[in-house]
Amino acid sequence: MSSDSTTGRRPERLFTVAAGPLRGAVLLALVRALLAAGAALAVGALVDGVADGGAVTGALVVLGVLVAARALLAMAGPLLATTIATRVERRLRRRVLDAVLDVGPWTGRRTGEVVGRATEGIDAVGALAGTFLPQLVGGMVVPLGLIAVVAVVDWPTALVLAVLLPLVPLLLRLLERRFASVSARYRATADELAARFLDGIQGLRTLKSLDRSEAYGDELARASDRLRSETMALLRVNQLALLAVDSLFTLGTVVAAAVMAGWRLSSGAITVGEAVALVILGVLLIEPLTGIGRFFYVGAIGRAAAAQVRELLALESSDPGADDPSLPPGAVRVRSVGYAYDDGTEALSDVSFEVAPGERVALVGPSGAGKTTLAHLLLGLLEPARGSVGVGGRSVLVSQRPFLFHGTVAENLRLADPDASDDDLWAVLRAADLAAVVEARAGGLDGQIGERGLQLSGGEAQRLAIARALLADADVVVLDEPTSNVDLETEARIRQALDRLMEGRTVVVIAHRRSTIAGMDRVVALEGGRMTAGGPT
Amino acid sequence: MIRRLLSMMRPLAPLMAVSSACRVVNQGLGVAIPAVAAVLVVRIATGDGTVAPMAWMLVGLALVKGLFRYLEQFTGHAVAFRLLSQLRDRAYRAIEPLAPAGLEGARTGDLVARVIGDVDRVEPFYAHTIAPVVGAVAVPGLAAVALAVAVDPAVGLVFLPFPAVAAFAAPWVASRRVAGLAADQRRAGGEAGAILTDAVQGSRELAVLDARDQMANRIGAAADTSERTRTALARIAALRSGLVDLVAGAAVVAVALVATSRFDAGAIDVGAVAASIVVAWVGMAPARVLEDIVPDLEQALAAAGRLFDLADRRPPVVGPSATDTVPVDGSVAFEDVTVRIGDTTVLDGVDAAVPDRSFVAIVGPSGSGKSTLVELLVRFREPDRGRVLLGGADLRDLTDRTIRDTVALVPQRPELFYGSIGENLRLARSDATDADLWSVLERVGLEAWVRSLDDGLDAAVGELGDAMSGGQRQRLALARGLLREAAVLVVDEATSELDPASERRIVGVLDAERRRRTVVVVAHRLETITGADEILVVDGGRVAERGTHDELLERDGVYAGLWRRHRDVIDAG
Repeated sequence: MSSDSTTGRRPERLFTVAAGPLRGAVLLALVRALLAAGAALAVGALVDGVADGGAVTGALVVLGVLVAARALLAMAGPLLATTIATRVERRLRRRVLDAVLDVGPWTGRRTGEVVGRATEGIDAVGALAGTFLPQLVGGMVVPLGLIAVVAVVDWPTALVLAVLLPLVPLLLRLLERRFASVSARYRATADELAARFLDGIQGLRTLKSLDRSEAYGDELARASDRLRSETMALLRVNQLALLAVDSLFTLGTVVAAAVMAGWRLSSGAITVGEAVALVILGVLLIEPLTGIGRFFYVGAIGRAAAAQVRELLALESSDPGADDPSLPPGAVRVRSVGYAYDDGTEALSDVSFEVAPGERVALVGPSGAGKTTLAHLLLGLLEPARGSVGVGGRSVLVSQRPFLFHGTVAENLRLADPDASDDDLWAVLRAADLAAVVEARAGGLDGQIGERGLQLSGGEAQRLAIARALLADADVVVLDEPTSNVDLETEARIRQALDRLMEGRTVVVIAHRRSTIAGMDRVVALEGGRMTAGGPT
Repeated sequence: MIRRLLSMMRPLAPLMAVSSACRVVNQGLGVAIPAVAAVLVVRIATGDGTVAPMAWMLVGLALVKGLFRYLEQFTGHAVAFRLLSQLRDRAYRAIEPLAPAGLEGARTGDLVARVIGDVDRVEPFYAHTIAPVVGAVAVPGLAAVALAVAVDPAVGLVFLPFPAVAAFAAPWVASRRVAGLAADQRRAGGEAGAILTDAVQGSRELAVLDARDQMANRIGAAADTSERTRTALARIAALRSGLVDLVAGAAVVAVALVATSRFDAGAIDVGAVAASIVVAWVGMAPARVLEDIVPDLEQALAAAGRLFDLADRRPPVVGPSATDTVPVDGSVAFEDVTVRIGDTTVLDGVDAAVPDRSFVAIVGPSGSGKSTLVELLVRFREPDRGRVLLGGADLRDLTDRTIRDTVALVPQRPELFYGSIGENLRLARSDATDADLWSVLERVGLEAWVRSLDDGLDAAVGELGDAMSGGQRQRLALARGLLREAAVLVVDEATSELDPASERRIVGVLDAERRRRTVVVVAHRLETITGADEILVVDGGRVAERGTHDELLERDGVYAGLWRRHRDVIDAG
């Protein structure tokens, strides 16, 4: 058996995880259709009984039992649909998260897109799996079962229906293609409108200051009106396909069955009750097909979302990781490292240096010299194109603008060590000179810090990030020195906290201050991606 | 709430009525065709009819049915599209007065998800609810009437209650519980989305801290909540589904029972018995769509509730709508201004005066209240005590329009909008000529870049996307501010992402602007404001020092400390 992992070329299998309940849902649809077909035969028997002046009680009892059984089974439908959707979504959510995190930092606008795909997109795929797929597969299996029942009553009618029915999926194809061209156009325009709407809402502050917020709303309304009338003009022609499909549905099923029944009846091949049963069976044939139509939009949206989710899952991911077990904890070794951006620009070339455990190194150079790229390589966030980067033990980053997560103080700290006790947390908070602040805040360790830590002041956020780094107890600290304009007292506190973090550890600091460089053991200078000082001696 | 939603669509009522009527005809024919077929086959059996006329009649009915399907869909789409744009329009206009201060506190990701997603969820309420409800009521009702008139009153009467129960009783099974669960589910979904946004934005931290599993668990926990409520919802849906199916089956059995007894009584013939049973079987179908609609409807109502909640928020700042008061010049004054946000006093009795056509810089550590001063100046916020004067007039007495015309703000994080570079600039002045645009672009040093683009001023900002650097965005916003030609130009830390050469150029432009208007600059890099007429040093919500660069250095206070630290930064040297 092939394993679950997929190669890049083959599209991801998103629904395997719900194969069992999916089969169950299709089986359920088939059994329910056969019970309905049985009920149709019971009605036929009843009509024959009436026409012949015979007893009808037996037929009525059978009819009652069959419809009751069908109703009982109806309850399983929503449960199966939810099970399928939930399983598919749960699995996807984790895989998308992994894929997204593997890829690394995302830029602002794309964050929204990624989050959209990972939330609403996954919901749409779940709906596709739970609601549309069973209908689609059922729509193919159920008519076969029904035609088998028709064959029991009258095989020539079954033959005619069997010839006509495959035409219906062909027509669906036609409809789908017609619909797809309209819906692609509609989606494109709708996406554009949604983008403008989003732009407007996110940019309200700017629009307001320009006294343009109301005018922007007017423009939005005009644009959507324009696009609407264009789309309607398209639909007027394209939806004529619906006319044909609806008519042909009726003609190919109930009308065909009725005409055949009338013909076979007039030639004496079947009874009047059987003829009525055939009419009802013709009606039953419509149901699975309209089911597909009814959830058509769920299918269309779901498939588009599935394609987008697959795109996310297929993103080239790498988990470089710079840990090198052969190095003693705290040692760093950079050998002939080169790195180029996606557009081909050289960020670093032939950079080599070593850092002994406990040593402090300053990285200096003008902006764009490659300092940040080098730091990311040391942290294992990037993979060198050439050469090698090795770090002994655990490394941790304190960036200029540390990212804090929505949640509590404790949750943010425990990202560095999930098993840390409250005492551990207080210890690092004290070391970062933040214990008093946290004590004074509502909720203490369990107090919320707001979206991206916005309820904290800049200095507090910085020190919380330092506390988190302390808790990580790393061997190597990579520090992008803060240059933010906090007040002097706050800066002194951050400095002290950083001193405690650096104590006894290997430190690589992207230095922005002359005074910082003075306190370092060594300086590695970069310019234009090359080392100008501090290489191997 | 349903009433409020319905009142919103009154202008669309005629179109909706047409759409619903077409649906009723289409579905009615769906019932009539097999019923007619049943009657005709029985006639053939009794020798009263032949196959050919029956065939033609059924084919004709099928074609008419298709035509009405087309009409229903077309009018239905027309309604749906119109609604979507109307809903967006209303949502935008509801949010617009709240911005920016009224939107603080809500998690921004949540808010945007809320508005965009909720609008999409409300749309089905109109587009896919009303016509089906009309069909659900009218088609079985007409079927019952047809049975009563054409077959036998007793048969019609016995049928009628079943579709009524299916349509109206079943959807309300546990409906209150469902409403609560649907709201819970949406909340959990929003929570998962917010955590995920965090995870994506903080992916670097998560990787370095090796904390991915923890984040996955948090998202998983939110998803678990969502799944629990979903399963509970599915159980209720299962119950409803079984109930409706049972009612539908009971209708067939009951009609069959009554029809056969009427036959025994000699009141109706075999064809009528067969047709009655077929109508009972098929005529229920339109009533059953309600069980599909109800979940959507519940989601839509929950979404509408949140939108209405937003629409009902009171704008934090409301200026007079018309007044004769106008600023006489570009001078600005803060008189004993105090602002509290929550429990924190952000500004504490600030007094400051900025003369007309002067260049004043506001500096100070982050969190000292600089940005709040800017917000006061454009009345995004109002002081809790004291007053702000613009050209001698109290800001409270001015209309929004007057304030916007007098004060141009270049914000810290400028937003660019869907559209071209030219369109983005003309947001500041809609009647600006191309020459005006090139002139401001030249002043901020973007002319050469824009000329290098294939489409020049018509280049789409969205398509440039990541090709535009933060510095280019900032300079475009600055060009927008210059184009506005207001008496006061406020620049809020708007050179933070510029390279040193561009920054010097911008400083030169701002320096020169003071001949034409008042320039207020909130500065991060002190070397950009050494030429200011006056520097206000804000610290802890107060003006700690004021004076020119040289005076403040001589004083050797807060500013001198900031300056020394600044000189220590390598890139500034």
